[in-house]
Amino acid sequence: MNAILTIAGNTISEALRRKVLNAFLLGGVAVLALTFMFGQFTARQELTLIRGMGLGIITLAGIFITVILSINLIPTEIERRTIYTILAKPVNRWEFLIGKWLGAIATIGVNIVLMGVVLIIAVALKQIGAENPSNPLELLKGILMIFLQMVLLCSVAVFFSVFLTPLVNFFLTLSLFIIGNMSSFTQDLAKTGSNILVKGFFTVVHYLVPNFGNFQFTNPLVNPAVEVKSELLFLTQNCIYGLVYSAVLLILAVLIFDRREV
Amino acid sequence: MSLSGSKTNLLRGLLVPLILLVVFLQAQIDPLRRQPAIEPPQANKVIGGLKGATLPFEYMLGAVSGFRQVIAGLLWVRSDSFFHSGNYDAILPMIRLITWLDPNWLDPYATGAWHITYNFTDTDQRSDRRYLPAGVALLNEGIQSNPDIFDMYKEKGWLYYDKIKDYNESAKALEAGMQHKPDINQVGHLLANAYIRAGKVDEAEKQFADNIRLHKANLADPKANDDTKMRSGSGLKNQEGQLDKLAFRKKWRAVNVNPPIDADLKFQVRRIKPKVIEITGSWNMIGSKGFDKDKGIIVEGPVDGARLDIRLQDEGYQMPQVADFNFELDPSVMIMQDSVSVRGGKKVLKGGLYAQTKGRATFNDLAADKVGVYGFNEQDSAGLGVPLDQALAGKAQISPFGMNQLATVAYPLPYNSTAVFPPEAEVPALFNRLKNDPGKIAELTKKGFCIAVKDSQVEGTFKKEIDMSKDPKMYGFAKDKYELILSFNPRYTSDFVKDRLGWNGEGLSDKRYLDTTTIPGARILRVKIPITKDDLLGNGEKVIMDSK
Repeated sequence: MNAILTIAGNTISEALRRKVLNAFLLGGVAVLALTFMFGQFTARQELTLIRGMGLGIITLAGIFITVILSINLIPTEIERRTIYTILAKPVNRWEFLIGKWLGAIATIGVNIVLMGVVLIIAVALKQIGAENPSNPLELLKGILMIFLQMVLLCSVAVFFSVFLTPLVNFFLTLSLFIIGNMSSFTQDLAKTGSNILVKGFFTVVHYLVPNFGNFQFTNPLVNPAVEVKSELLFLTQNCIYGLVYSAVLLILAVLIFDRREV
Repeated sequence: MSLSGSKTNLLRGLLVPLILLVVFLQAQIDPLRRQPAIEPPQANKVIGGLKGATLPFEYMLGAVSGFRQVIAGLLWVRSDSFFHSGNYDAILPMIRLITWLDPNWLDPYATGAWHITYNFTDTDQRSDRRYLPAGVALLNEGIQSNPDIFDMYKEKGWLYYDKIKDYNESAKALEAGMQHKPDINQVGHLLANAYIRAGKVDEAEKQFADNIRLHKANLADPKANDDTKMRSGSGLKNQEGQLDKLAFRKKWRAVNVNPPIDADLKFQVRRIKPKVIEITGSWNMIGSKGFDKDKGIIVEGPVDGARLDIRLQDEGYQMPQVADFNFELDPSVMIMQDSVSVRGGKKVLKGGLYAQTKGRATFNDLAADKVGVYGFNEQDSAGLGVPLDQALAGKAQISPFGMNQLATVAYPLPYNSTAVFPPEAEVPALFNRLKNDPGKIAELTKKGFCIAVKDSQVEGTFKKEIDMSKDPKMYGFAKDKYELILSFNPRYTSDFVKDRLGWNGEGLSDKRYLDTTTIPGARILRVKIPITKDDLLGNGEKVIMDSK
């Protein structure tokens, strides 16, 4: 366990030293600040725009941070040959992989939490004196869902990174993210497909491709008047889904990485 | 170090149950995720788009990748800039896409319906009424997507109230809004007024009472915030005042509508040049000039401001009910709607007070107006009476009503007084005071006040030129047959007119144009004139219709 935590700690330090991550973080915070530029709208419209844009910006920044960080986790170590030094020590390959993953997740988490805090403060400030203000802390639900989405995305990228080059990994991970967000369409196609083969194909796609669309919880946060049925159950199931799917991907990654020649 | 064989097998073995768990979880999540509150089904419509409303690829990709709200927000900001630059047409597809992308966002429906029904006008600021069905359809979509929120019902109620003037439909929408935790100031107040304009006075009275009860409940609610209490406080005061007014109006209008007034509507419709018509006429529009809540109408006479609606449309046109919002217009449909107000009606009875306008267009004296003193121009006043100083010197007899008018004009009541005339017992003393006040007599005579030596009445007139030649997109004249409808509905005229004509036109009559069938329960003035395309497009002047 110590080895995992040490590797995770090093991954965080290295990630934070990489200016590209800081740039994304700063960019995200700067764009969140831009949400104060909607002053020409009514207070209600302005809040809707800030909530919607804010959560969108956090997601977008999260995607770039996650993908760029995750696709390079293993290849960089191999390229720099630092992996040989580490694996020469009494460290299991799976410990190395999990440590890197944990470090990436922690880095992504810190970024998302920071941006989330800025958004919550922005909404709280905008609601001062407003009639029937909503609780800005409700946005935490959306921020949690974004984080879990990024955990899953990171797992996908780490899984691909053990056997693909970073460039291929970049496009494949992003493609999978888009397809996974379109799971409503795959579900509909699975139901309405023209023949059994089409139906079967989309059923498999719907249930087996990581379903990033599950984590879209923006609507009730942007429009607080809508009422979500079984909200707690939905959020809990999503948390479990994200973690279990990540576990599957990490096990696969460990199994592949264990056999790979480095 | 690599994994041992047993650990590898253990991990491989773990994969199967974990994948099954993933599939199971997905099956559990699907129905919850597909609920409209999380994933509104309308959002997927952006994939197909609509003629003139299709998202660029990168926007569509963003929309299906979890950035619906971001794309909707960007489009909204863009719509706002289009609005400020006057590019109104460009906003319509934006509204379509935004309400698909984020069907729970209320503002695009409300602002969109307002924009589409109010802002598309001809050069004379007449709204393009072909858009009304689309506006209603957009609000209906808003209601369908947000059935538990009062706002959309309120917007629909307001559109029917203010623009379409269908008060039954307005009341229906607002009644539905009242079921969803409404803002009483917005929904309840408007509903009571919609009932009045729909001729449902008893329902209006009940609604005012309900509003008062709800405001009081808000004020007594310990959880209500300061803003709610402040709004409820002002709302309560307003509704108590309205209920009080309704009570005495109910009492007096039942009496004051008799005998019914013959409106004696006369008009002429004339083509001036192609696509330009002029409507002129006169109308005996009588209303209350002075009203006392304890006595009803004290002074009645011709009043300015009552409006005659003018509508030119394709023969037999009825506003269609549209199921889905679509901003594409049928260019072959034509509707022009305007109104003209009647002005210049005047009346004086023998021994009463009037004023000579002496070359001025109007006579402005608030105290005199309130007691039924009209300004007559030189032409109308020839031989009508004598100047006040001469009348007081004995050259004309002043009637008791004239004395009342004179006492009030000479010594106006305090600004905040609700009485029309001074107390009856004080009038002789005030009259004597005036007779002994040469300065005041000179001042009033200089203002043009005279005493009539005979009765005189001049009907109010109206005149409107309607130019449809500058807006070919709105007025395409594609059909061969049209109808011009002139109408006056007392239900939505001013209260000083309704005080005399009644809630539903009970005090209104006209030998030729009284219509008691078009609007059930209401007595309105209405005339439908068939017009051909040639009538409207022909060259030169032509009298299309003359009621004489």
